[in-house]
Amino acid sequence: MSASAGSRGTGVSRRDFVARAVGAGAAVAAPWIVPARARGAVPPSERITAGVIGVGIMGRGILGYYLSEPAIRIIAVCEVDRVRRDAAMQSVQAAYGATSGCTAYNDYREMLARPDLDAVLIVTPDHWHALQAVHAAQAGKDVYCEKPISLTIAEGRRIVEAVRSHGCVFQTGTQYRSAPTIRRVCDFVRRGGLGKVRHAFCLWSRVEGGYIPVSHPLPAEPVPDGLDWNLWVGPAPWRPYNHRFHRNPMTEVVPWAFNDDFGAASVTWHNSHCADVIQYALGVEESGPVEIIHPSSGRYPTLTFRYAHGPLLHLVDDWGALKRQYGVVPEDARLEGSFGGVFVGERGWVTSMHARIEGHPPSIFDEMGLRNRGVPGPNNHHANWLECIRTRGRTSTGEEIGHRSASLGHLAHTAFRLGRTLSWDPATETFARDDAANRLRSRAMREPWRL
Amino acid sequence: MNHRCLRLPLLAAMLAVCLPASAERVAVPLNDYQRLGQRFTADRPFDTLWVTVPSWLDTEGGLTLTVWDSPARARRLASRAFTGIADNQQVRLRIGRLLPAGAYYWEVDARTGATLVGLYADALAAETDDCAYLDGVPDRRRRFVFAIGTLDRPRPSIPQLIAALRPDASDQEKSDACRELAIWGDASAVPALARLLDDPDLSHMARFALEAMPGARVNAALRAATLRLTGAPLVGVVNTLGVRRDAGAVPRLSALLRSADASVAAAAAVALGRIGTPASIDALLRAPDSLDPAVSAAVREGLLASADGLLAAGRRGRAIALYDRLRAPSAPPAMRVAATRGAIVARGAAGAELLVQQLRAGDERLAGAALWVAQRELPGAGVTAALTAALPGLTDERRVLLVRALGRRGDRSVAPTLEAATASGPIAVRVAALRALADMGGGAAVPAFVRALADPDAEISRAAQDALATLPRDEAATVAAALLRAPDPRSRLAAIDLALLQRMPKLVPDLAAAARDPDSGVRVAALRSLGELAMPDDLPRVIDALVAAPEGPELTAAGESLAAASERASEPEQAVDRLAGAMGRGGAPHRIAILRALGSLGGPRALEAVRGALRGPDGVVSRAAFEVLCQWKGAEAAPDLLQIATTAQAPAERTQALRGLLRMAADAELPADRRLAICRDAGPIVQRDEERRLLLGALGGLGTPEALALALPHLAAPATREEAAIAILGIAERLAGGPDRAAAAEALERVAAAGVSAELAARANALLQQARGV
Repeated sequence: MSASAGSRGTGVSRRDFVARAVGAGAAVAAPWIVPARARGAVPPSERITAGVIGVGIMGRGILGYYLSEPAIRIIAVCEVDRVRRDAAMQSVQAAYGATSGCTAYNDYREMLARPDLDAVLIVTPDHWHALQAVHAAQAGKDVYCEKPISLTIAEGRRIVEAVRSHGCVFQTGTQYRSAPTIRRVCDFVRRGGLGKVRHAFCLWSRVEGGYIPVSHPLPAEPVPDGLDWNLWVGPAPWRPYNHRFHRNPMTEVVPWAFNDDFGAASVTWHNSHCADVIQYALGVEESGPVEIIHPSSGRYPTLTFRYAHGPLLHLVDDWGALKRQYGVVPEDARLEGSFGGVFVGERGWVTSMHARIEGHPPSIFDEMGLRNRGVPGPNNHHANWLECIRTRGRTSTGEEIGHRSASLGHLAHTAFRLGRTLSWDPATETFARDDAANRLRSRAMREPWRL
Repeated sequence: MNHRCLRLPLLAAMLAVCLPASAERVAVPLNDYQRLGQRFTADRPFDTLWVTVPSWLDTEGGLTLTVWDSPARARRLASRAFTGIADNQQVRLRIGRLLPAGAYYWEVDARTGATLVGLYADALAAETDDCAYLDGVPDRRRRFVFAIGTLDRPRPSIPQLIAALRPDASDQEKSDACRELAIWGDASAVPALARLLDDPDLSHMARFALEAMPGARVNAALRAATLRLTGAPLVGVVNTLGVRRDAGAVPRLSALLRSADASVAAAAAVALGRIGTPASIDALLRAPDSLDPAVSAAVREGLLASADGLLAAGRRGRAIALYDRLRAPSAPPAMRVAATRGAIVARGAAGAELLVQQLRAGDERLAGAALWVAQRELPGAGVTAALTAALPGLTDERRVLLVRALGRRGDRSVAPTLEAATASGPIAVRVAALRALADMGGGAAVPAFVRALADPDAEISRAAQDALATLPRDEAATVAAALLRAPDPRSRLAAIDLALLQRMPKLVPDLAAAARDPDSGVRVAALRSLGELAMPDDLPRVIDALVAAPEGPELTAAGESLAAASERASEPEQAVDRLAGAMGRGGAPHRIAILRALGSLGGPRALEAVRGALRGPDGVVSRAAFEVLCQWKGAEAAPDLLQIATTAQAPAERTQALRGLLRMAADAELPADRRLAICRDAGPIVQRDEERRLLLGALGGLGTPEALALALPHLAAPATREEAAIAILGIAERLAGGPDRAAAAEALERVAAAGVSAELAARANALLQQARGV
């Protein structure tokens, strides 16, 4: 696990930068300002220095974005697959020039040891998120972490503890809530625009017929040249290499998420985004439900969360269930898109999916201040992270929010796995009178890894 | 069918329940009156069967899925008809009871729906009885893709799970048992699991179970294991003792703190820190200076964890002592930040002094820690007051950051200070104060925002505008209405921006009034905003604003707004009447703008108004009416365009009208019969190849034999052959499955023989097969 060759960058510490940069208006750009206004206004010497951990299909996208962001300088790229690592370094050199000052690493711990690194972007498979986030916090780095930030409730809580203990700025990669239209819809619901919310709905994708990730073995295959498979598996239970864990099956789909040891299936694919915006709109983004009602109870046709202040959040296989099983929207509702969810309240209903916003009564669109029903345009998620790194502020999706949105998925997995209704105390993060469920809140890490 | 959309890894993983994985995968259609089946052997009880169904078109199909006792189909166990199956959907058959492990057979038949559906088949490396069946005949080298499982999870037998840990069991069996024991295991499983700790390949899975299991016997077993294990397995056990916060393990962990194996010593340090008892803390404090930096770092992390634990438990004094020790100047920077944060928080309100010290001192990291704390912890007016009092003594740079932090604390007692800071001082601090007030929310700071809006410094003004944009919508509307009457144009412009940003249709009367503003920039912005915000009832205001608009940017903006507002009209005929009534007002440019708005609306009454302008005396207006006509949305303008295309004196006018007509013919929104009629009428007057291509493009979107007849003659001319072939293919595709398939086949034969590109010829031949019913 050694760093690959390359010169160590001479990046400027953000802490040094903070003192100088605040004089520039762009350096303290307010979160609601579109990033473009600030872009190009940051002198090279005042950039935040960052490293990317993981340059698979998501990491390449994140890297590409930040390579064009003037306020940040990528000085390190870490990846356990040499082919991907080399490709990422080529991207950096294409953006910065041959003398990019960016160093490639196989082992993220060596990257975190760099004193000139301000922040890290964690874009690895899910089973690495918590460990790398905690290690980054302990190394004094600010963190952007892809969603879901954890594979267990205990992992998420540990992230919260580490981030707070070390005074880090942390942001969860649930960009969807930062889309202006989605923010407006959620704010509208949160302010009571629908009256009391009675129901919310979001999609829950299946994994080969079931509702939870699978853990069946796959045949061992030769490890591709240049892939550090031991480090790829890291803290998860050991599994021999199989290409289905590592090779992307299609564009924009991560390969490993179907597997219980490495990913969280529906939670990874889209439900983290749904959970984030729905819990924000319901005003429980730093809390959680008090009951997870399994369909075997006969109370609701699909798995349902109940929140203490009344709303029910139903997970559905497809949007047709809202008409077919719940009868809460009219037949002509189109209900398109997977991110976001549907809210049904005393006054009417509204969607927050990415394809288009729908709702009733029509007057709510004027009340929400929406010009049309599309969900267009860029969001300020990344700009918000950079702004908070400079000012040490809270990000739009901080550690507690990221933990609670991931937890919602873990709670669903637990109920699906055990096949029964569970009572949950969001304050103590314990299940009432259910030893088996409480045991599923954490998992032992493979040695030598520990949180 | 989109084979790529099938999540192969997921599917194969589930199939591993009963089948090995496979490499080659093809889609097999389920034809009418056909049966496709699969024999399979379940190695465990199951109650549910999933089958993945590809389809060959976007429409949805159906089939019936049945589970039988065997391929002989003597006993039906469960069956269900599925409809509306989308491509690659997994159909699920719940059997209704738990079927025991053993051999079974499932089958699909009775295809329904508009599209062909089928199954995925994998090639097998060797022949097997568990294979695919086609109409009851086994194909021993293929299997269909499916999965079995249980939806209702039964509680496993602990003795059976323990038995699975026997020495001769496979590693996979043992791992699977450990996963289950993590959920269900009790004290009876501890001895077997403890033995597994010694196996380097399975030690982790043993801990996977033990770490989750409550009980003193687990702790005792783990402690005992630390006496015999070394290396990575020992590190793992130590980690688990830490996770379990086993206070009874402190003596052993204290000893391991002195291990020659640095990885073991570091693990012990972290575990002791997590346990956080007085004894474990003392052990960490007495830890020998290690040569290994990883151990030293682990001891510090352990102490920090202990301090955090003490703080959480309310034992502030002991926590402060640890934090103060850890924030010594000799500590690594990241640890100093963490310990400083803890030291401030642990002191409560009294921590404000330490907080301010960090802000005043030179270390940027520690100042950052102080700012972090100020925005998240230590609430209360006393701390806010201490921070506020510190402001004057700070550098401008630190003041900017502290001002932002004060805003985010949400303590309104600081508002007067922040409002004062918006008015004078360094620009960066003033900007920060405006943003801080916006962060605090509420409208009390609106006067400060409004004052700043008129500031000569653009950055201040922009920050004020951004701050106003954060106001709640109702409050923002009140502010915007007031600002529209402000003396300075910048404030009035900001009001318009605010109205647009927060979408305030109720401000339309004010914005219409602003269309007559003395400042040209305000006039243009106000006129543009009407297009965005005007509601149907506001159309008269928009018309009035247009008629009053001077020529130039104002009229351009007003025209665009009128068109946009007209398009949104809830009662188009009333809107047409209003627009037509306004044709007598204003000069020619104004009438042209109204004509364009009529074009946006469309419909017979609007067309009548445009015809009137076309025939009118003003040549400029007449020309504009003609252009509106050429872009008309409905087919009702076709006769007008046809007449102009046929009779106009100027060739350019004829050409433009013809193109307008052909554009109309290609508009898929219009009824097909109208489009065909336009093509029929336009055909004789089309003269140029470019126009013929437009005609063929329109014909290609139709699906009648007559469209074929109109397109076929163009196959002969080399200049239009390819376009004609494409059009004929488009038409024939719609006809191939219906009663006019013979006409389609005849046309396709001609395409195939016409010397078109190989790709088009291949498409024609493929369609020909379909049209002939092959």
